[in-house]
Amino acid sequence: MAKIFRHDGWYWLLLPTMLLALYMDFIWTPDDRVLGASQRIFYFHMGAALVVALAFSVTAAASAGYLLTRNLAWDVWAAASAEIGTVFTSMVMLSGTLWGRAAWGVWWTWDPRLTATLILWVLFAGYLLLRESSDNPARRAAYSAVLALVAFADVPVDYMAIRWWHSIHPVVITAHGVNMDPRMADAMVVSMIALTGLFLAWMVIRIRFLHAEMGIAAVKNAVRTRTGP
Amino acid sequence: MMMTAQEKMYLAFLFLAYTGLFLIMFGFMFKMLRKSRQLTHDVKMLTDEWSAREPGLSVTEPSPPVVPNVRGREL
Amino acid sequence: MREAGTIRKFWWILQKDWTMEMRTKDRWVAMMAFVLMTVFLFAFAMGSPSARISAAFPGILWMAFLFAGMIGMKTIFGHEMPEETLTGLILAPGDRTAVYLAKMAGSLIFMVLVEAASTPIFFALLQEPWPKRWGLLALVLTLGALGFVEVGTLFSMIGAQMPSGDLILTTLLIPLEIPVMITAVQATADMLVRGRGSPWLWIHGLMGYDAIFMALPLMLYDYLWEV
Repeated sequence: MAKIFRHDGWYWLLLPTMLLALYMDFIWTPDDRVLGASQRIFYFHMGAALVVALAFSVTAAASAGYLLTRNLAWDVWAAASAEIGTVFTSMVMLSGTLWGRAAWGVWWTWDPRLTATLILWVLFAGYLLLRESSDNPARRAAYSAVLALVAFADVPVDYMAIRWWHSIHPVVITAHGVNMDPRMADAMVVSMIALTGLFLAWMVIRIRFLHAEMGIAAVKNAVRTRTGP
Repeated sequence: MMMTAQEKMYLAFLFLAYTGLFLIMFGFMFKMLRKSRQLTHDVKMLTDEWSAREPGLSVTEPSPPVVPNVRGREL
Repeated sequence: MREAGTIRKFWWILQKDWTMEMRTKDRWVAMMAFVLMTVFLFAFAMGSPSARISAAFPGILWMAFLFAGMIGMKTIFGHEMPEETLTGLILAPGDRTAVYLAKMAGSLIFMVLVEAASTPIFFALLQEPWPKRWGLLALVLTLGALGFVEVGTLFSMIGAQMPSGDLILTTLLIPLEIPVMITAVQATADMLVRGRGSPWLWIHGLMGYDAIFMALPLMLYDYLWEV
């Protein structure tokens, strides 16, 4: 049994956190007065949205770090974070459409947040496509870093442009504190923590794999050039 | 809006389904975590082995940051 | 001295591209042909004089321009690639900024020329009344072209240097241009459709986008050439 905990023992913290979050979201919180049970979609929606913001901020920061230092370790961070961020964006949009169907009666509206999220998703899907179709690691790193920074700047602009249309997305966190039942707020915070933990664990896995890939490529390269013609 | 008993039951099933999904995912991620650790270790061993065998060989550097205009065997 | 060299470099690259375009005419012909085809297609698809076209007219106009611009984007750096002449441009005396700015200015000129030539055709063939404030329309057309070209030049550089770059260029450029599209279409609609309020809010938005995406590529373009 101790063998399981010997390496990466921190990982096991994720288990109780996530189970607690699931229990709180599905059983413990009260129903919404207006929305009923569909309110429960919201907790993971909010948690995933937090992870999206976190993940793409990490990508942008790591991209800037790469361009300044030319160290491929930054690029690994940017790539891993962008991949996971894209998955979480899909999760946000999926849960959002389900919730929107229950609350607004439509699957999709061209509301600023929805549209900006969709654009974010498309841009980072393009980012992954760009990474996929490049062969030189340094060039790939530079190009995708430039793209990540432009995309990161584009999304707030998008948001502002679309905001001049009427917005119907609910505003949960206002200047006057969180706008809901305290138990709901607790569930939201626990979901956020749990999903952030999931993000971190996933990051560790992806970063290790990418580093291993890089290491193997380096060894292969060195051996090839030595035995080359 | 209160839930009926049947809706409560559906909710409980949903909770169980999601918990099950999460447990499967958790196990998979644990496996990947172990595998990635193993792989890191293996790559390190390989690198050490090659650099011990031939001290002139630089295996820690990634491929050079220039655009290769002479195509090698791999390109 | 350095500044003088940079300005001279800028003019020379612009002149070179202009001369090449005058001799081959490939960008000009492709963009114009595409825009005209779009007018025809929309006229056929929506059944010529109808209220539906009137409502969608600003959108049709800008969609045609954005896709035509996309065609133009591929040739900005495309003709430098086969013989690696881009390296020569970068190494020529003067700042590297000049290369980026000249390429951008060149494609801006083409966009504006195509818009100037095809906007009257659009109005005539889709039977829209010509707006009274045509100076304002010209301003919106120019600002929209500028916004498109700024981001487009940066990414056409990426697209030109990558395998299957065309595909990626299109995929990346369309979502990045959405703010231009929204603001330009809304500004045009405000001008053309009666009782829609002042277009200035949208024109200011367009100006803001142009300013941001002028500054950002100027900070970033350098990194694309070092590798």
